[in-house]
Formats: sequence, structure tokens, C-alpha cells
Amino acid sequence: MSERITRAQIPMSELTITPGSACQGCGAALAARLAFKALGPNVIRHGIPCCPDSVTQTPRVGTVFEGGGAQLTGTSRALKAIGREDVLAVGFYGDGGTYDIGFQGLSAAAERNENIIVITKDNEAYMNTGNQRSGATPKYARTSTNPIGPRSRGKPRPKKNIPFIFAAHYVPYVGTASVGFPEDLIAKVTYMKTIKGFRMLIVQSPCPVGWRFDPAKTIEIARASVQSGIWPLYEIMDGKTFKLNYKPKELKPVTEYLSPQARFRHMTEDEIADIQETATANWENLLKADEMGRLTL
Amino acid sequence: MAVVHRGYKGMQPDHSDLMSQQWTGWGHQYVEHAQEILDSLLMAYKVAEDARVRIPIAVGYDGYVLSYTAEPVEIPDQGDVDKWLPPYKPMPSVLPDEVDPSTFSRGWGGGDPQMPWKIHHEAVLKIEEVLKETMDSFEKTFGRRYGNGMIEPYKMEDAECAIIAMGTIAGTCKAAVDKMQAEGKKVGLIKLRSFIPFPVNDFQAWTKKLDGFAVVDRSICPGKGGPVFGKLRDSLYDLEKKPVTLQFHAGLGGKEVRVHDFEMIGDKILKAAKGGTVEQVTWV
Repeated sequence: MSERITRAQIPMSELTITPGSACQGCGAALAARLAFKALGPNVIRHGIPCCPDSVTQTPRVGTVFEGGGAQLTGTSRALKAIGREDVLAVGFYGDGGTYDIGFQGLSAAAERNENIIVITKDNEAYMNTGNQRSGATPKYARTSTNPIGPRSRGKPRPKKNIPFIFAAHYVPYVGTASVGFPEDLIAKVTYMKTIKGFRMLIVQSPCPVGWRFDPAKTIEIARASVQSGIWPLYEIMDGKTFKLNYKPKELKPVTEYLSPQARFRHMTEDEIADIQETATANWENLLKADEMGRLTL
Repeated sequence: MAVVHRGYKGMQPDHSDLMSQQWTGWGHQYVEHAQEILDSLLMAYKVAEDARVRIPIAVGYDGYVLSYTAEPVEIPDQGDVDKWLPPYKPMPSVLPDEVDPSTFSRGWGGGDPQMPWKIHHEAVLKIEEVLKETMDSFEKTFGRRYGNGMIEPYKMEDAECAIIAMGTIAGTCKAAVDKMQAEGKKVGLIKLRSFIPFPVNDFQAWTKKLDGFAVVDRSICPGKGGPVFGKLRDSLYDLEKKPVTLQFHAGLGGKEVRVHDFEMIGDKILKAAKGGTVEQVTWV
């Protein structure tokens, strides 16, 4: 698993050469900047339709929405065939291309334990096309396809537990990360480079436009998400070994995370209590698993 | 890539699987028997990797009929194939230490978003020239040939009309052509091998000698019609002499196509070419 690093150990090099079409405060652009600092230039970056958050100083290839897993597989095997396994086949995909449309191909690649790295910038909806809900959208979130009205309270169903789903493929590494915890993100990307096989890192990337918060507050929102237990930072190796990377003595209340975001503004006290209960219960489970150092999947 | 095609409506063979993927941007070929599958794949690599092309090629063949049965096949010597098909060197390189950094954040076409499509289209059209060369080279090295690569005429020397078919049913058609010509009926087969790119030049040349084409499509785009029929008529549109063209749908959904079905097709096109009244579309 990853080894902790300090802020001083974050690489100085910048591989992002333009910000693409990123919005002010774009969490995904920050996820790219941090991840590629650790990945370095010896990478072929793979993309599928998603927010055009950045352009990096790496050769790039793209494919259709559902093709991410397949294309990464092809590149990885071709690199092996020409004796260039030093080059990393890295997919930098959104949540739509990981949780939903891209899921089948990635699940297949995970099952075959393809030698690839998948970094998901999770902004919790199909943001590029105007905030349509995805499997990554949390319960009660307002999206363009989950409006608030007399018969709709935002997304009725909870967020898919994709880290556990991919861990249940018994792949070498699945981790969660946040743009609000750059040292942890970089330590994890650095670790992924040292092993082979299917490696996945899901980075929660707050989106000021879709989540509807002040673009200056991206980092605050990202940190509140982790500190309230809504987006815990952990690693699962081989679907068994488990480590919870960030363990505050006490979780912050979920309201610290929910209140600044207009996508949750409509929530009633009962609905907030529902989220609080889920976050607390999930946290208890993760603490137990961390104590044992293992998960049962 | 070898593409075993089956139909959309059920699992029995027709051409829908590959026909529905006309927009992949690849070359598309359809073959008749197991030997042709092997030979076409060898040739497809040589064509696809040629510097003038660099486009993937799909070699389609009928599901079940070819994929689930066995036929004797002559397998060429590995050493001979290795000499004939040298290792592929990709150009330009896409590796991080070889790629031109000025290409980051820039696509093909120097800023014109239409250019990548134009470049791609022209590369696929180039397949015709390279495939014909490759067929010559294949015959020289391995002793087998399938027409000129794009089409394979069968007993067309004295024919007045041609049946156009792809895949295994072309084999059935050959038996029908033998029978019909023995009865004095002047109809032959032009087996279509390359659907994309379409052998426009070849068909335009054949038009000079023929009065009618019976196109047998083993697929249909609902609301649009048979793909080979449409593309053939498009190829002949600008010619002064326009032969009669008839559309036949045969073998869809895996329906058996018999020798006598092709005899019926042959009779109809001969009748139509002589001015007789025949319906333009027939579901066999």
C-alpha cells in the first residue's frame, strides 16, 4: 500500500500544459494536475467523453464512452508486445465512464487483471453535458435529470459503491482519493506505479457548476467530504487487505459538507439525518475493517 | 480482424452484424469459405499495415455455416508467411519518448476539424489499389488468387447478366451458375469481396459488357434497403449506359438459400435485361 508523504515531497514538475476548458474551481482539473505530477511523462493518457479538464504533456488517445477498458487493454498488451512495459497505459476517466457507460469494459479488464491504471475523476454526474445523473450521484442530489418538485426529491437511490465493486474483482489495488488531500493522492499514484496489474484510484472531484457552490471553495468542500465520512480515504489490495488512510478522532457533521452545496439545499431534516446515519454506519464498518486490516468481500 | 457475423433477429447467420458497422471507418471484406478466410486475413494484415493505408480491416464470414463447421484448409508455411509479411513498424510513433511534443493539444489537420475525416476517407479508398497489388503478390508466393481482391468473377466470359453476392451464398450461386450455363443461360456470378471500399471502378468496367445486375443482399437497413444494391446503383449513376438492376433479399435470419433460388434469380435478371416486366425487389 501507499506510504505517507509530506507536502515537501510533492513533485515540482507540472505536466498540465493547458487547462483545457476547465471551469473556475474545477476539481477534475486539479485531480489531473496532481495525478500527472506523480505519473510523470512516460505515460500514454487514455480519454473518453468527459469534461475537457486539461491537456497534459503526454501522448493521448481517445475512444468512445464505453470503450475505455477495451482501449486500455489494447494499449497495454501492445506495449508488452513491443517490449515497452516501462510506458504506463493510464486512463483518466469521469464517473460516467467508470460507474455506468464504461463499467462493462472496465469490469472485464479488472477480471482479466489487465496491466493498466484507471484514475477516475468523480464529479458525481455527467457534468460535461449539463449535470445529468450518473451511478455516482449521491442520494438526494439535485441534477438536471433529478429535479426537485412535489414528486421528486433529487436522486432517490444512493451512490454506487464502485471501490468495493472493483475490489470484488480481486485486483491488486483499488484506492479512493480527494483533491483536498494532495499528499495522500500523490502517495497513492506513486504506489500504483510500483506494482503491475489492474490498479484503480477514484478521486472525488468537486464541481462548482454542477454541485452549485462558490468556485473558491473546491478544497473546503473536498475536505469536508472526507472529514464527515461521506468520502473516506482508503485502499484495498487484492480484494482483501484494507487500510483506512485518514482517521480523524471525530467525524465532522455531514451538514458541513451538504450546506454549502445548492444541489442539497432542498433537503429536509429527516433527509439530512438519513445521510448522517448512513455516513456514520459506514464509517463504523470501515473502522472495524481497518482494525482487522482486512475486508470480507 | 476476423468478424464472425450473425443476424440481429436471432442468432442465425446473415450479414447484419458487420453491415451495421459500416461507419467504423475500417475496410470491410466478406468471404466464401474457410481457405478464403485464412488467405484473406493474411492479405488483410499486409494491406492494413501498408504505409499508404494504415487502416484496420475486418474480414467477415458467416456465423455457424463457417464458424461452426470444418473444412480442409491448406496452411502456408510459417517461414514463407514471415518473409512475405514482415513485422509492422508503426509510424509515427506514439511512444512518449518518440512522439513530437508539438502534437500535444493539437489534433490531426492543423486546426481544421474536418481534415481527420478527409484523411481517413482517402486512406480507406487507397485499400483498393493496395489490395489488388497484394492479391498479385499472394498468388505469386502462395499460388492462390480470388479475382482481383475486390471482386471475383465466376464464369463471366460470355455472360450477359451478373448475379452479385457475398459470403457463403456466393458458393451456392456458383453451383447454380454451372447449372444455368449448361442450359445455355448467359448469367454468371461476380462475387463481391470488398464492400468497403466498394469496387466502383470494377463495376463500371463490367457495365460495358453487361445488360443486368441481380444484387443479392443478405442484410437490410430497415427503411433504407439493401446496402450492396444501393451502393451499386450509386456507382452506376453517372454512366451513360445503365444496366437493369434488381434487388434480392436472401438468407436473412439464417434462411437457407438453395441452388434453385439462384436459378430463379438468374431467370429474373435475364428476363428483365431483355425488357420483361419483373418486380424490382424480391424477398427470396
